[in-house]
Amino acid sequence: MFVGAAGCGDPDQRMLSEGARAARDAASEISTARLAAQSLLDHKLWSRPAGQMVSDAEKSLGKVVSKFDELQPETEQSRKTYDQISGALSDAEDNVTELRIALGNNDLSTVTKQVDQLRQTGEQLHRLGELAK
Amino acid sequence: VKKLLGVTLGILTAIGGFVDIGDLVTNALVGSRFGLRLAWIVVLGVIGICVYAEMSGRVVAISGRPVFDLIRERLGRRTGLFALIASFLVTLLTLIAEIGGVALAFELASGVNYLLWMPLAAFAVWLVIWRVKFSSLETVFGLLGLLLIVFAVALWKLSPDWGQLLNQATNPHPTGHESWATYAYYAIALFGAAMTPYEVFFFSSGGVEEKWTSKDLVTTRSNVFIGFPLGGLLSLSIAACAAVLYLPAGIKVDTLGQVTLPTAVALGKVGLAIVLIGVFAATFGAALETALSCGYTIGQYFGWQWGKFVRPREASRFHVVMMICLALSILTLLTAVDPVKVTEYSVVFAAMALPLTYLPILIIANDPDYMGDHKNGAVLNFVALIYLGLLLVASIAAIPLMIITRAGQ
Repeated sequence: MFVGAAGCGDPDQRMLSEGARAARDAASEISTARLAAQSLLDHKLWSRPAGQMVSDAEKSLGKVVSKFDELQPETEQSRKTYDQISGALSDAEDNVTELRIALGNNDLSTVTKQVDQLRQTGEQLHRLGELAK
Repeated sequence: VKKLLGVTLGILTAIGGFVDIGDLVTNALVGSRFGLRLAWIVVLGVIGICVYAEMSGRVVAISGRPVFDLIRERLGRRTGLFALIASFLVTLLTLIAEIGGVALAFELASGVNYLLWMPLAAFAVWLVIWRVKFSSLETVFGLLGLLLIVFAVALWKLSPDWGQLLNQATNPHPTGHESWATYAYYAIALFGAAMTPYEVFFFSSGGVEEKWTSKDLVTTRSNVFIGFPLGGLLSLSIAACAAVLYLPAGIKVDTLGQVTLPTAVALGKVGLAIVLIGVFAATFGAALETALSCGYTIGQYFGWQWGKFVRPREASRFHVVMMICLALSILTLLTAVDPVKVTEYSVVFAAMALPLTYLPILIIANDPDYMGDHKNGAVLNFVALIYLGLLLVASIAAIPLMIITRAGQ
């Protein structure tokens, strides 16, 4: 509650808080997409449900990105945080879109590459998600 | 032997029919965010629905009259109308969520957008209600819902650290980035999901449809006291699957695909196929029950001819109410509102409306004029009053918590 109240007043803290929340939400979608794609590669999932799950993750990720993009950085420090988080979210969105396209084209070698890429992107987002409560 | 088979069938139907879209989504969501740290709420909710359903079943079996007819007579038109509006709106919201759930299950299996499946799902609900016997629809979808036991099998196959799960269940507090406010908000949501009012309207109205008498009390009690707790175990296995797979990965459940994915990870394509049929049966069965409950509550309150024990022509207003509710469900979902979000809200609103439907039944179950020797005993009343207090607290806290947590975000 105290941290939340502090976040309301200080623009840097507020940006950090919102950024960390967005990073955690994005990491959740990235991990879902990766798990679905990995399950497809392990022959545990058909391509349609896998594609649907990745597509759902892409849509949810889009909502996270657009919600974060609407924020207004008010100081130099908050602008730095904004750019850092925004860049990571944008990369994540691109990766999931690439994965969705590869799944749609049944291009399993690209799916394998994207699963590895998503692991790295997910780790980066997890780190950003720990910047604030 | 025939009676034993009947009782067993009733229990199996109660287990399979216990889980609906609210239980599926809320348990998976809570499991992914809190592990089993809210498992005690499921236990609390299951005991609550047992108390609530037993009283309603007994009222119907002894009086031979439907619940809302008695509520209007015992509490007067105005108070009865208040209870009717609250319960009807919550049941309608649940119907919208269930129709959306059926459409989402088809979307997951086929890749075709749920908006295209949704009118078909609503039409199928109407057709089944119109054409199929009450006992058949109750039994078939209840038994098919048993396929959701696949979550328990998946949990075992995921080889969880049972000690850790037990540790979570015995440490009821939020962890990580979760606050006490979100913990309390989802506690209310889980409570609402376990004690959804339509389950009781359907159960008790079914008693009138099947002409229960005091001789059926043993059967109804066995359905409630064995079937519902076993259904609660199904709910816990859904939460546990999410706790094992998603909590360590930081995944928050917000789609039906995520609810079903643990079965694929644990059991492969067969697991996914079984869970999709189970989800379809659970949501479609619940859509039938909620559509019927919409008709039951209104028909019983206004004293119309109602139910499936009479021909549709003789209960035309009852059928028109259901058709209007199904049409409203289609229109609401066509706005492209997320059915999972509708589900999340429906369970919280269910918790909010519960005292309005629970209290009248508690009053009637204590009235010797209606119940004679079968009125509530002292022990049951003690438990029932504790639950009334819990329901009031949940009802009052729901909206402030919804605002503070921005609906659990």
